[in-house]
Amino acid sequence: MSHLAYLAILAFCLVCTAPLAVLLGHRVFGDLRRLGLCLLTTFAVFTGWDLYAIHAGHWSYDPSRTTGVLLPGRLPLEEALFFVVVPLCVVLTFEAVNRLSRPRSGRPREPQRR
Amino acid sequence: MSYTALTGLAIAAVVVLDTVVGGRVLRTRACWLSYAIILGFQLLVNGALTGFDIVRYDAAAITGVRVAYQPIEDIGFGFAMTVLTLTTWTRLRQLPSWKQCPNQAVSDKPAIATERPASP
Repeated sequence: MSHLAYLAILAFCLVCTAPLAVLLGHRVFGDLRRLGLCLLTTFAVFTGWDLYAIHAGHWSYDPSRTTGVLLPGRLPLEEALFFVVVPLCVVLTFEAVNRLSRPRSGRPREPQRR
Repeated sequence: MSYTALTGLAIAAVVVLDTVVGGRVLRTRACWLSYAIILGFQLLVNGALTGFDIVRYDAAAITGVRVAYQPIEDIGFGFAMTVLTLTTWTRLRQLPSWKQCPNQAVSDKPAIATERPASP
């Protein structure tokens, strides 16, 4: 079971932000091209950093607490997932803050009120 | 290059990126409020990753200063990741193909927005 420790932590992140996805659903997932490009950018940059760090020996992963599935470049599966899950959580948090910080701006096409 | 140096470079890079070609989210209150929430979760989640030794660091690559079990460099890593994600997310909406109103540089989609996030 301890092999799933890292995956469990990623699942925790999604469980915390999934309710936000329901709250904001159509806004974050309404434009999948935008979301996809955004996640891809962060994924590419930080996976690149991760690969460099792994090969430079900056950090390493406990094989007994990860699934052991390695992607090309000895990148653990969990790390690849991390760089998709975390940016998604970031966007969901940002959009939730945006929405909640303005009163009753709920529906599209609603006239501006100020 | 050490993890410490890379982190410093990354923070500088995302700040410049956000200002020059990105969505200029660092000027918005929503960005900093989001970051405060994200930082809280990072301390918890990354604290677990490092505290339970799921990830281990080379002592030579870091300063050795730790916050909630994680090297302080990880805080910078998280900041850079957050800002890159939010500046890309915001910038993409401003592209002409997203039919963004050109004057609304940092506010939300015109159909939904009622206030600029940066307004004090």
